[in-house]
Order: sequence, then C-alpha cells, then structure tokens
Amino acid sequence: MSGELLDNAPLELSDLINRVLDKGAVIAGSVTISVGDIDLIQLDLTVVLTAIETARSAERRRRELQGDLNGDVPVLPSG
Amino acid sequence: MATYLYCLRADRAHPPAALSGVDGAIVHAVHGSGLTAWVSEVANKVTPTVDRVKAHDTVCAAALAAGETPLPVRFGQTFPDDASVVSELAARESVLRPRLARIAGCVELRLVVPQDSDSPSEKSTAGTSTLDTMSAGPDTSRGADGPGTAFLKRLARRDRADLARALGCEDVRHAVCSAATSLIVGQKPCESARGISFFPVLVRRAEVDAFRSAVAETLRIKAIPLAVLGPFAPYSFAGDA
Amino acid sequence: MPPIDADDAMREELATQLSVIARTLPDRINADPERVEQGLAKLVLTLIEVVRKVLEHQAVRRMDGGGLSAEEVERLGLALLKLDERMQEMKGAFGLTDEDLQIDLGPLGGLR
Repeated sequence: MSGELLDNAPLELSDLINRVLDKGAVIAGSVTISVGDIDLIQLDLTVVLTAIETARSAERRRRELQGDLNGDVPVLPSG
Repeated sequence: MATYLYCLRADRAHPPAALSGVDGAIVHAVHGSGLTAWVSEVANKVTPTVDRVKAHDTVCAAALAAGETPLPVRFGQTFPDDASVVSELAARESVLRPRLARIAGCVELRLVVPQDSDSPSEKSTAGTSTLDTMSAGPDTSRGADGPGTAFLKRLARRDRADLARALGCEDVRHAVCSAATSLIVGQKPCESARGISFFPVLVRRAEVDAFRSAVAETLRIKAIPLAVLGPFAPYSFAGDA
Repeated sequence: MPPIDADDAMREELATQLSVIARTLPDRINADPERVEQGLAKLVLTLIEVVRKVLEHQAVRRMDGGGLSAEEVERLGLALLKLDERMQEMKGAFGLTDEDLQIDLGPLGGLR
C-alpha cells in the first residue's frame, strides 16, 4: 500500500470500520425483540428499505416529468 | 444459532477450506437462484467488535480473491438459517443482479487523508470561511441568539467541521480523478468519519496498478499525504447508485 | 455515477441509521423484574437516540438551506434542545451512559 504516512495502522482501522460498518449492501434486516424468551416484535428493515427505494424512484420519475429540481422536504412540527 | 452473511456472488466459487469468519466459525457457501452466498454459523446477535469487523472483511477479501468480484454486504446481517438466506436470494434476485453487474470485474480503492494532516488541502481556509458566512439562514446580527438557535448552531458547527474536512478532501478528489479519468469506473464524494476523510473509487482489476501510478504522480507533485488503500471488495458501490 | 442529491442523501442516511438500530438493539430484554426496566429503557433510549440524531442533522440542513425564518429556527432549536435535555435526564434516571447505548468499538466507535 502506498502512502506518505509513517504509521498507517490507526488510519487503516478507521477505514476498515467506515467501510464494513457503514457501507456494503443491506440485504435483509430483521430484528426480533423479545422479552425474556418470548418473541414480541419483528422489525423488518427490508420492508422499510424497499419502501425507501420505491419512494426514491417515484420521486425521480416525478421530477423528470415535471422538471422540478427541489424535492418537497417535509416541515418538522413546531412546539 | 443463526446464519451470518458476508457477501453474494454471481459465480459458484466456494470459500477456501478452513476459512474462518466471525467468532471463528468456518465459512461455507449456499446457492440459490443462480447466486451464491458465503455464510457461517453464529450466535443469534452479532454486535460489532473490532475482531468481528476484521473477520467480516477478511472473508470478503478472500471472496474477492476467489473469482468474480463479490457483492459485500454490510456487517451484522444474520438470518434464522441457511434456508432463509436462499429464499432471500430468490426474493431479491432482480435487485441483486444489476448490483453485481455494476461491480463486475472491478475492485474498490480508497483514498484516505487523516484529518489532522498538514496537507495543503487541509490548510485551505477558503472553504471553511465560506461555510461560516453561509451560516444559519436568519440574520442574527441584530441581537443575541435565543437558546434554540444557539443549540442548532452548535450542532451545525460540529457538522461543518466534518464538512470542511470533507471539502478539503474534495479538492484532492478532483485533482486525483482528473489525473486518472479513463481508469475510474465509479467514484463517490468525500466523507469524514472516525478521524479520517476519504473517498472510494471503483477501478477495473487489471487497471489497479495503472491507477496507483497515475495517482502517485499527482500526489507527489502536490505533496498530499494521502494513502491509497485496497483493493477491497466494493462495499461503497454495493447499494443503489 | 450520478451525483447524490439532498433527498437521496437523507434516505441513504435513514437506511444507514436503520442498520445501526438493527445491530444496536438488544434482541433479548431481560425478563427479571428487577432488571427488566433497564433492559427496556436501553431499548427505547437507543431507538430515540438514533432517530434524534437524524432529526438534528436534518434540522441543521434546513437551517443552512436558508429556508427558515429566525422564529422557525428558534422554535426548531428549542424543541431539539428540550429533547436533548430530556434525554440526558432519562439516561441519568436509568443509570445509562452514552457508552451503554453505543456500539463498543473503543475510541473509534460510536453511532457516528
């Protein structure tokens, strides 16, 4: 590996974590939350991520059709 | 027990014998819908530790060396069993195939600048002062900020420190990528996290050395202390463009 | 590759935060009555912290975008400031530190 630095090790560790923890395909996320041994909630990330992809494609198509450059950013509630 | 997923591939390459992954489990392959997944058995929950993150990356590196470029998945994804991985491959085949096609024959290189470096790009204050004057929308010159505004500005300063570092990195990115345009299949904007600024490029396997040479010359001329890490399986190019 | 626009960046961030939730949540909450409260508290506070970071980031983006009046910025900031103060109280009440809610990766880690 090339580099001008004397000690790449901390840098490589930061890079490793940035890469493996924050990037990479998210194929399925399904978290089961249990109390004791009893399964109570299934949090299916795949469904939410699919919805995000669908929303993003729909948004792109809408913008292409309307020539609209700025998406509609929701306003956070006050108070 | 559960099945831990490392990567997906379009060929049928198997992991080398005795390749161990997270928590020392042996990695094996499962096949479905013409795709292959490299997996291993784990306890139900895999929380991140440095050792586990390293193990995940070691497996993806082995997968990269084993044949066609694999699609690395993000750390921490487990399934109830091997069979559910297979059914997931079937369900998502139409999404996965284009992603695999996009990275076919390529590898990821990452150009990394430490945030406390003395490179000319880091010293660039032009970007920083532009950000400061571009500050909170409303004009607060008329009086002191309310507590809410002060809080948001504090958050913004923290974000902008990262952004300023990323901007310095962006200058480097443009310089480097101008020098190696024909060799770059894909690239992403700079990010800053965990003490470094970085950007990834997607390069054809056979052109890695040519890319390093092209970049080395630019870095030498501009005296930029940038490290070129990799090649890696293309984590940064595994999701949607 | 096409540039990433603001909304795509937001969705990418949301996707990243969801995978953070997935790997941070405990998948078994202790059912021992003396400890169950802390297990549930950790679960709830982790979720809130992840969402709160997204909210703060989006608020800063809105403020920097220049589309908010001074009053709106103050109102938004106050709401987030109160949420931040409340969260510190909650964590204190359950004896949970930021480290308890975060991934243990030593000095390099964190929810980012």
